[in-house]
Formats: sequence, structure tokens, C-alpha cells
Amino acid sequence: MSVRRLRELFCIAALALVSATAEAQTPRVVQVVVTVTAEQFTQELTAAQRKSIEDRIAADVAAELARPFPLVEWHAQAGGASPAMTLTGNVIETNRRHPDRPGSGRIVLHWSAHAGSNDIDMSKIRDRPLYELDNIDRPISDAGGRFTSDLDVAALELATLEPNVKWMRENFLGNVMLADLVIPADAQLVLVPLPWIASKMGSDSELSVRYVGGGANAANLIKIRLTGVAPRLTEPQRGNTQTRFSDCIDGSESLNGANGWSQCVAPLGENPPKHVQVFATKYSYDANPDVVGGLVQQEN
Amino acid sequence: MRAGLKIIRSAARLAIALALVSASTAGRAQDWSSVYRTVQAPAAAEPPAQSQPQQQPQAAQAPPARRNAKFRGAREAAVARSADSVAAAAAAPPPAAAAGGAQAADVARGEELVRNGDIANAAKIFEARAVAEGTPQEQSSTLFRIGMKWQTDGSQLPADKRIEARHAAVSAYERTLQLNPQSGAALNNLAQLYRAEPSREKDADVLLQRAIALNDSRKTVYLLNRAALKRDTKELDTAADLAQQVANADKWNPAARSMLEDIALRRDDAGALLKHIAWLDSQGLVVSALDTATAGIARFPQDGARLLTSVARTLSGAGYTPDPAAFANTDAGRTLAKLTDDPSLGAGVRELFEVLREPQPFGALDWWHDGFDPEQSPAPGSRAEAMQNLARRCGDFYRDAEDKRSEPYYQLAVAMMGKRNPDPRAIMGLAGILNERHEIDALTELLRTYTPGLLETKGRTIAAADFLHTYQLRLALGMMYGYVERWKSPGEPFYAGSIWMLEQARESAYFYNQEKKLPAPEQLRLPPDAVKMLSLGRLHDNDLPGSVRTRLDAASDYARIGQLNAARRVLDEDWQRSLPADLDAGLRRQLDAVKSQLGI
Repeated sequence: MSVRRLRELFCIAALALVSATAEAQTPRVVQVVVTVTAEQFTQELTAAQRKSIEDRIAADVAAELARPFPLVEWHAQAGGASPAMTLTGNVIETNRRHPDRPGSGRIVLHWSAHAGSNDIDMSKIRDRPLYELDNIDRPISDAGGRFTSDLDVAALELATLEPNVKWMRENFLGNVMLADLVIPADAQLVLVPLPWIASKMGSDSELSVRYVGGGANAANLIKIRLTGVAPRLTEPQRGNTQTRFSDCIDGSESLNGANGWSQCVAPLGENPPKHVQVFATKYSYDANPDVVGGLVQQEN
Repeated sequence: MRAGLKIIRSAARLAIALALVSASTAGRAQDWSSVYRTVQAPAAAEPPAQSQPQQQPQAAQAPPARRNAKFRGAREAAVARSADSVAAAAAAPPPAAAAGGAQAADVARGEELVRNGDIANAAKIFEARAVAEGTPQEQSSTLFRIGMKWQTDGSQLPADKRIEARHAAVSAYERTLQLNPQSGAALNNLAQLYRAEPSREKDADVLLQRAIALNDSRKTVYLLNRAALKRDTKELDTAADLAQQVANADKWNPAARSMLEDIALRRDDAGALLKHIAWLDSQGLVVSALDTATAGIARFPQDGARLLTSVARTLSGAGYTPDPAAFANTDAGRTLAKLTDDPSLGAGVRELFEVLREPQPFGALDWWHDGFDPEQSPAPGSRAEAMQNLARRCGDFYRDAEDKRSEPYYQLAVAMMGKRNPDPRAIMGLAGILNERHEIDALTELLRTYTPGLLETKGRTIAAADFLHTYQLRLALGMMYGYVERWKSPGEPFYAGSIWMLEQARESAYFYNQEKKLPAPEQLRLPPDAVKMLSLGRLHDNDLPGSVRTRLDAASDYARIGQLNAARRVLDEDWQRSLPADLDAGLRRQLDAVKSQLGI
């Protein structure tokens, strides 16, 4: 068996795994979770107190992340189905001076994320120190709400400081599955069930559709690039996002134009429906997507 | 051969597809039936429909082209989006309630007139048709869409017909407003038409003010369009105020930030730009602050030094979280790198990059010494102040990363701080590192050099009854004296010792708590490490009972407000084991009682 064939089989197996995981995921939904596991605080705060703090901070972070990234639904509460992504901020203790003494190390906020069973590398978001080793005024519990307040400030920095937001835009957002369905339309248009107004996508945003194409013996990973995002004004998918097919990769072959359309996009209109995953490969925020060149495009 | 045929087939399919799109587009430009669609109330969970964007009218402005299309000039915006929207329009099926009967005939007649270049009469027919039936709301909406279509299609008409299309758009919007004076969209779009005529700029302003007063969901759009109008009429202060309102409401709005920058760049000097950069810094928008500053240097070379200083200031802020050494690889870093040979700024740029790459000795900096005073704090706003803060920030950054570069950065920060600097952060950072390494001689030297300034500053905070800062300075000084085991002052001033400073810090905390009327859990109190330092000081001062009482009182106080871990920390096992067997019976009973309360 050739190396190429082995690689293809590996890709297919990986895709199948991702697809199986993704089926249970809710497109667009990212759940924000905050946990306090530093022993100093788990000893000093009751479980109910900790949960109250964790829920409040998670809600604050979710609300703040929705400002620069309305493309995604940020939830602080677990819903019925699995989210497309889980973003977790964990308060941990590192570098204990005395291994047996909780509170003798640094207290930091550590961010991690996973989509299904896939971990997202968030190492570029550095641990945010809450209390240094030599901070002689560090709180021990949450007396006066100081720990909650300090944690809130630290956690919100993920969504308020531009370097962090830039990193999230360029490295995190592209991992969030936004839709599991697309509809090919006439004139090489592809309709995506993303609410146009709520998503606030700038016109230079780009989406990517991934699915396993071909037959059982010649399955390929197909990646389609969609550009020209615009509002869909008519049915089907009225009010959602309309895009234009740009180009695609079928296995290792790059295609565009009519050929690319017929090979990569057209099969998506056939039965049985293919399981697809849609991601944002580029997202620019547009505060008023119904305004172009200073003109309001609709009356109401 | 097969590959060649495949390419030819692909090319042929592409050509056919493009031809089809092109044909659809041409037809669409003449299609007026879509504006007469029945108005559908959008379902609650569904975003409302929009008029499909096609080509952009002579709308706004011309801020920097590198920004988003939102506030580019009309033609630029048209080019940016037309290809997509035309394709979208081509695909859109006919409207749900297509014109029929008399309407269809009127529309066809109007379209024929448009094709023949008779815009004025076509406009009359389209408007008459709009008000022929339906509710006033439906008529208003149809007239709005007619206005939009004239406004967007106008640019596709021959030059001599564009003015007529413009008049037709004005007429349609004016009639929209007669039926619905609260139509913010019509007010806005009509204003965009007016502002293109110098004689009607005031009318445009009135319309935009009316739109803003509606306070509807598009208020930020109206504000930005009015900002553009004021910018173009050279009323830059008003323009900046309007754009700032939008930026304050949504700091991520790229159009607002672009407008603010554009307005600032039209000034005679960099003052407004620096104010904008300060706002960006305050919002954590540090990447934009750096980009703006470096771009501003080219526009205001005479203010290059102030802008370069602002770069250092931004990099020293808590909002700049990346590794300082990585700045050179950012857009702003690359822009700045082009100035390394600049006659006036080159030295400053080179020194800045060197400091960011690795810690530099004080003597290696020259350009950044401007404003340095060995006896006092650096001059406010000076290059030296910015560099001192940057060096301290680098020290903090590498300390957090447990990187040995933190010490030389703190050394640079301390060297640049001046002896009477009220900000103890750099000196505390260095003292913390030296204490951890037990470098007592270096600590002593640090104290000898800089405590006079800290004491002097403390004198000022005491005189101003600033209890909080007095507490902080006393706490810092008390800990630093403790690091070098200077428990009591060996001479004058009598207060230059750890015991006195920490006792007085506790007193300052008491006054602060009284002044602020803080509830017990929120009150300032000595932290556990300071309690232990004070206890140790008293022990060295041969005051064993006082030393023990210090810890017991603090532990009881912590326990009273529920800070049990803090209480346990000041009664740590090593300390308990060190207590003599013949400890005063009363103290022993008190210790046992507190231990019992804490469960230890």
C-alpha cells in the first residue's frame, strides 16, 4: 500500500471520528466554563460559594466575548446538547514553595479549550497571574468579594484586551463549528444557516466547508472556500448568510470555477445529505452589516 | 493530454458560468419589479429581509483606504461589494408578490423609459405606482426601495443621466418621509445625497440630527455619517465628538475607530492623535494604539518623538500582554523598524528595539534619557518616564514567566526611576528577587539609595491624609527593612526600621477603614507575611510576648472574618515548634484557644 493511500486512509479515519463527535455538537455554541481548583480556595470556600463565583465569572466572560465575536453564541450555562466548543478558565496554583502547603505558590488563571475530544492549543494565551508568590496582600478566601472581583478582572481580559482578542480571532474562532449544513444554490452561491444580522460579518469574512466526499473506495477530505458573504434575501435560508463558491480542495487537487463547483459543491445538493462542518477561516467584525458605504440598505 | 482536456473543459465551463452571471446581472439592473414586493413582517426569530446590496451610491467619505469598506468612498465601496451582491442578486428569485396587472404594465413602461434614458418620467411612473395601493406603511417602504434603487443604480447610468437618477432618488426619499417622518433609514440616505452637494450640506446635517434624535438601533450609523459630514466641512472637533460617541458605545466598531484616526490625521499636529492613542490604551486596544502611533509618525514627523514615546508607553501598559521581545514581529514593529536610520528618531527606535530584545544597562540608553533626573522622578510624559515604566513592565513580565531577565530589567527600571519616585513598584520587584536569593548586601544598598525618596514621598501622602497610599508605602518600607533585618532604626530618622513601619502601616489601615466606613471583611489589615515579619522583628527586639501576641491577635482577627487560611498561616507549625516551653501561661492559653477555633 502506498504512503499516499495510507495517508488518505488516516485522514478518512480521522474525519470519521471528527464527524461522529461533531454530530452531537450544537453549531455556533461555545460554552464558557470557569472553575476554581486551587486548593487554597477549595479549602476556604464551600462548593456552593465556588459555584456561585464560577457561574458569575463565566456569565461575564460569555457576555464580553459576544461583543467582538457575535458570530458565535457564547453560553455560560450548559444546554441540552454538547456545545461546538468548550472554553474553560481554571484558577490553579503553580510553583508551590512548599508542596504540602496550599497557598504557598502562585495563583493563576489558565485557559484551555476543546471541541469534542480535540484539545485546542491555547498556550499563546499566557496564564494570567492572580496572586504572585511575593504578593503580601493576597486574599485567602473571598472575604469582601475581593477574590471574585480579582478573578473577574483577570478573566475578562480574554475578551477586552486587544492582543487576546486578536489571538482569539485568528486562532480560536476558526475551530468553532458554525453550521452542519449548507445549501448549494444557483450561480455558484452557497447558503449557510448563519443568521446574517446577528453574525455581524464583514464583507471580507471567509467560510470553509469540510466534508468527506467520494465513494467508500475513494473517500476524500473536501474543503470548500466560501467568500462574498452577504445577506440572503429570499427563501430558502432567507435572513441567513449567502456566500459565493471561491475554490476547493478535493483530496490533494485544487479546483475552482465550474469544475470545482461540480466536483466539490454540487454533491452537497444530492441525497442522502452529506454531513458537513462549516468554519470561519476569516472573520472581520462589522457593527452594522446592513449598512454599505454609509447607506442603510433596508428601511426597517 | 487528459489533464489538458480537463483544463480546457474547466475553462469552458467557467466562461459559460461567467457569461450567465453577467447576463443575469445586466437584466437585474433593469428589474424594477422587486421594489414593489409585498412588505412582510419578519418573524420574531428571523432577521428581517434587506434590499439586496448592489452598487454603492455616492455616499460617504474617504477615510484611509486600508480600513473597512464601510466608510470608504462610494465607488470604492461599490467595487468592494458589487461583485458579491450582483451575484447574489442574480440568484434571487422573483419577489414573493410579483407585480401583476396594472402594476406590471406600469413597471414595464417605467423600465422602458429607463432604457431610453428618460429618467424623470420613469421616476414619476414608479412613484405613482408606489402610492397607488397598499397601506401608508407599505407605500413608504416601496418609496424607500425606489430611492435606494435610484441611488444604487445611478452609478451604472451614463454620466449625463446620473444627475437625473439622483433627483429621482431624492424625490423618492422625500416622499417616503412625508408618509413616515420617523424613517431613520430614509433620513440617513437622503442626507447622504444632500451632502454630496455643497449647497445642501446644512440640509444633510439637519436630516442626520433628526435621525440621531430618533435614538433607534441605527443611531451609531447616523452619528458616523454626521461625523463624516462634519469632517468634510472641517468641523473636526464636532466630528471627533460624534465618532467618539460611537466608539464609546462599541469599542470594537472598526468604522468608528477608523473615523477617529482619520479625523486626527487631518489636524495640524499630533495632539488629537495622541489623545486618541491614550483612549485606545485605556480600552485595552493596544495593538491599534501601536499601529496608530507608528502610522502617525509618517504624517506628523515633527511630532515623531512624542509618538515614539507613546509607543513605549503603550508597551509598558498592563494591557500589552504579549512577550515584549515579539514586538519587532508585529505590524507596528515592522513599520517602526523602517525608521532605524531616521536622522531624528533613528537612535530612539534602535534603543527601543534593543531594550525589548534584551535588558540594557542604563548607560546604553541615550535618546530615552530625556526627562531623566537622578534625584527626582522622570518628568511626567517624558521619554525617560516611558522607558522607566517599560523596563519595569518587562521586569514584571519576565518575573511572571520565571525568566532570569526580570532582574536586569528591574535594575534598569530602578536606575531610571530617580531617588524620589513615589512609585515603589520597580524597587519592590527588585527587592523581592534579591530577598529570595538572600542577597542582603545588594538589598541594603538598594535601601540606602532609594528609601530616602520613598520616605519623602510618604511624608507627602501623610500630609495629604492619603491613608491608603501611606499604608502601601509603609507596608513596602516595613517589608524591605525586614528583608535586611533592620528591625529598628539605628539612628535618625527614628522611623527607618521594620517594626515601626509595619506598626504604622497598621495604624494607617485603621484610619483608612474609619474614613471609608468599610465593613470588617473589606477592611485593610496587615497581610499574613507582614504579620510574620512584624512578629519576627519583635522577637529580634527581645520582645517575645509582643512577638507572640502579634501573631495571636492577627490570627483571631482573621478568624473573626472567616479568613481561616490566613489565620493558620500566621500560626504555622515551624513557629509553634520554636516557642519556648516556659512561654507565658496566659499566651499559651490564648494560643490553644485560637488553635482550637481553627481546628489545628
